[in-house]
Amino acid sequence: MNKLVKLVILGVLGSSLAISAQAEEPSVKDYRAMLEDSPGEFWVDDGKELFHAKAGPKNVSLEKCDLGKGPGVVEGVYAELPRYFKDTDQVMDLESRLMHCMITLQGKDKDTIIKNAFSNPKKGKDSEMEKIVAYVAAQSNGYKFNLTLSHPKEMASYKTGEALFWRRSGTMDFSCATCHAADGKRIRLQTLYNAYNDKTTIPSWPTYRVSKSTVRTMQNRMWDCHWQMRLPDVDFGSKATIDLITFMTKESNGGEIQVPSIKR
Amino acid sequence: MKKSTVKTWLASSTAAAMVMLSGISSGYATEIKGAAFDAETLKSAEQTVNESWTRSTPEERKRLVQDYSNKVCSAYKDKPTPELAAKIKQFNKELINYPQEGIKLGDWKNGAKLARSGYGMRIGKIHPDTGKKPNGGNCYACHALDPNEPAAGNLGPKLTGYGARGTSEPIMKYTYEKIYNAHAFYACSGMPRFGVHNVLTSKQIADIMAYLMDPKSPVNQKLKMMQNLNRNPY
Repeated sequence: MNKLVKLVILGVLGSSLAISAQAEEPSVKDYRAMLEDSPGEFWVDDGKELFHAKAGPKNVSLEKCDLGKGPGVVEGVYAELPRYFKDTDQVMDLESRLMHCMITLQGKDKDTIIKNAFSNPKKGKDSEMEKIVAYVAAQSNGYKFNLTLSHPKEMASYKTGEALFWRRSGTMDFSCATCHAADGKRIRLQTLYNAYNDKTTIPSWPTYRVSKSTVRTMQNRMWDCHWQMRLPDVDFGSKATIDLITFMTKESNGGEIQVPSIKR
Repeated sequence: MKKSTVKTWLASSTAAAMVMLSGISSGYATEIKGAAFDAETLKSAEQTVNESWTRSTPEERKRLVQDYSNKVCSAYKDKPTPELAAKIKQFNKELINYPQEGIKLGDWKNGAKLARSGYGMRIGKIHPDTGKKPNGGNCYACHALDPNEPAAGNLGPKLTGYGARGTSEPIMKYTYEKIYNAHAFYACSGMPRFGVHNVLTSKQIADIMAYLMDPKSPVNQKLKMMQNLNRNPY
């Protein structure tokens, strides 16, 4: 899409941010109806370009990246992630796997990838990771999440993930479960997702966050929740984040992927 | 975070660790036998925590350390056996400190501000709180208080009209202790232990108590129908 058109639309979104950030669900629904597509579609377009572009010290694209269904296959892969990968002998989610490909195929530096993983529109900081994640995840739209946990390490990741989900610590004594293990709960007016009864929330990530003016990914959501719980920044792509994502995604198995969605 | 806050937090976590060493923890291995998670899974979770915050400072990582109370609650998915619940409550009762000046009601107007503020204690490199504003109690995140404030969460019980309980000595003491350490009354409560972790000072607790208990506080007024209808809650 034309860059100028993008900028104009983003400007409009930005100016309505102050109102939308505080509004509750019905207003966000109206907002969604107003737009034909999620603004996240721009991230998908850019992500497609980035995925196929030669980059890094080795000057190669990500076209040989195996996301679970063979090198270069992007369609439907997100519906089965996180999954076990034989080459690394570990369970990986989409983002840790993309990081692995950027390091091994493109020769990129891990610290730099992590440093730039999350965008910060207020400071003009962009993220290629968010765009590539939006692109790859969107290639599973219409697919239902289908984690089989057929490998022992996938089962272990799920179990550990659930234990981490209930693990309380820090100055607020919170765990994920404090807010996300029952139906009908709210923080202020913000409705909270219940990990044990979900077929729509997990399949709606990555999402365009109106209040952040950018697409946010599951890895960012893991950082954000831990930050709100007053815990230190959890490492991007760490085992804790992957295990939590395995647990939550498995619980939402059968939910149809529709991304990037649009949220508050 | 202010230095003094770090110090006091450290002191309280050290105290908690010592209580663990001094006996209660010796039974921990047997206590997790009937837990929601098997020993192998709990061990895996701890190993995972150890390897997933490598970019944080050792000081920051102290927040990931669990005391006896959080350890048992986590292993039991917040539903401990009655025996363990009693132990958890006792453990938490012993963590409560009382103000030298006695338990008094403070300024409900400042309490109202604290009840609305979620500021404070966030750490890390990405978006830490600077410590330039006082920590909030963020009561409205989970509780309804002022009947004319519609933007209230529902994770905790409604506290509207709390002042009807009066201001007798036992009610004052109970309210102070509840804000200081809710886990002394309800094992594995979802409420943060505001006093134990020095999120709130005893003066701030007194202000929040006034917001709850002062007859003049909006928490103890009736719903103003007309005003409420004309008001834009956003």
